[in-house]
Amino acid sequence: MQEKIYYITGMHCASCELLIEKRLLKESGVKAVEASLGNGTVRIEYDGHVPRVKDLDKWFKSDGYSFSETRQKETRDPLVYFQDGKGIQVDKKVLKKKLSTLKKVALVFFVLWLIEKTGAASYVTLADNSSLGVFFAFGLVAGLSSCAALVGGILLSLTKNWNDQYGYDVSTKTKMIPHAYFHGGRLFAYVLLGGVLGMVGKAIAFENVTVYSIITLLVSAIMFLIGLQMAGVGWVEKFQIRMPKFVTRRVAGNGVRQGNQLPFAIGAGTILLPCGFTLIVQGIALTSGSFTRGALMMGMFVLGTMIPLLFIGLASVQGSKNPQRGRTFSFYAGVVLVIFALYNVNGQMNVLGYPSVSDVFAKAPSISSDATPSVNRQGEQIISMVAKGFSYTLTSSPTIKAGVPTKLVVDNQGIQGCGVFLSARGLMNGFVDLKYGENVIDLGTPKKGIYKITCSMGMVPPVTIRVQ
Amino acid sequence: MKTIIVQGMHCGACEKLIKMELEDSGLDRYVEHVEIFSEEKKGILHLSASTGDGQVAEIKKIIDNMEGYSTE
Repeated sequence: MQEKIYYITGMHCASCELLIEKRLLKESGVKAVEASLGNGTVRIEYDGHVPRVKDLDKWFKSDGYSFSETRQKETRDPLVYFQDGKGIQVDKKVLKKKLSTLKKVALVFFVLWLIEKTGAASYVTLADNSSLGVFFAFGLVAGLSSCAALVGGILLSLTKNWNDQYGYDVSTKTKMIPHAYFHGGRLFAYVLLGGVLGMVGKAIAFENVTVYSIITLLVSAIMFLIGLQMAGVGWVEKFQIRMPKFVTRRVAGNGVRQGNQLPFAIGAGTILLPCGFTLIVQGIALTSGSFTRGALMMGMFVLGTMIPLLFIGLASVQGSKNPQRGRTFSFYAGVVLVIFALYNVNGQMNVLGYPSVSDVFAKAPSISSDATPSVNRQGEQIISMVAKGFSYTLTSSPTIKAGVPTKLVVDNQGIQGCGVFLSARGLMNGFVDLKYGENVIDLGTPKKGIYKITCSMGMVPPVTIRVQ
Repeated sequence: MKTIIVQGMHCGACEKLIKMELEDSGLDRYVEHVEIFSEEKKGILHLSASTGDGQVAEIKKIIDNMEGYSTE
């Protein structure tokens, strides 16, 4: 059995894929065909004779498809060119266009950075007696900050598939149907979990940091590959990271009756992601002691996150209105996805206690690593830290002794974002919800090793503790 | 004239795909023309006057078995 890949232009929806597949399977010798709208390719498995480009062009001429053995590159006006007599010239129109696009992308990053830096989260502090409006506002902030890197990234990756399947000639309203199901799934899962947490309390608290990390790493790896695919990196295309066709074709088919279970299920599944803000609300729902109150808290929070996420979805749908705009949007969205994925992976390296890029930029501890660990009257070692803004600052020796009972004392002077949920894999189990003021955490008798203290998402620059 | 409304049918490729499927059973000859409403993701198959109820039922069955399409 041999294989041949052709490149196609002119496909616009899932039906185009099916049409090409069905027609080619009628040819003798053709054993299997897989057309991909997203990649603009058709892969043919055959014995003996394979259809040639001129055959394919002839068969599909009336459908508007064109085939080639190499990817057709768009001819673009060059930014810089050489002109006889004038030397090197810059095309001002092209430059203006590129700068305008860059400005838009930069604006998105600037707004996200500004929200994070202004510490908007600190103005929306939650407690178990907060009004439901505060939970909504907290969700709004969450959707605009670090949670956007995770849930927003997933949404961007999915949108690529959904847009591909619907094609270019479908209304924004129709293309937003899977988004509605995605958010419906989120709302359902959060309300249900909030209610259950409120009812049964700590019995079902999520404690396993490693499981959270593995889920996030897997999701980030997929986001990374989809990001590269969207940005048009050639070698990644062979991985074919897409939802199974039987699923996507259903999504693209009868938008109301069939196939929206998947966006719904994925939306519901986002509850498993360790976004710091979500963990905070889950923690408060746990203490509510009531199904209704817990459900309402989580419901209002997720409604708040929905606004920025719907904006991301709408932008991606608008960006796929035609092939040209679709490609441009796909490129920039791909770049954003890759950045989000790398940001998440780096964070999870911190959570797991492994080396990360954060180590390179970590501030040196103000106390020498040779300093003797502080000991209280009970003979327990003390690691003390101040949590403020978006950082943890160690105020005791970074080195402690193994096998000695140890306490971690965190003075929370207004930590923000995921920093409220502290993790220290290997030193303690699960995440700790930092209350304002002094928090004393029992670390038992630590074993030898190097440990990192960071937030639940690993995004707060980690503090490294050496146990020897 | 008999008609069949097909949900999920939104473009020329859908039309051709459905016709190919009907062709395999020799039923494509009953389809006189097709109207497509892209925005509504809906198409209407206009069948010839000679199409019997049995054929209509058979056409509907074939389309309903195709992923992404359903008849009314």
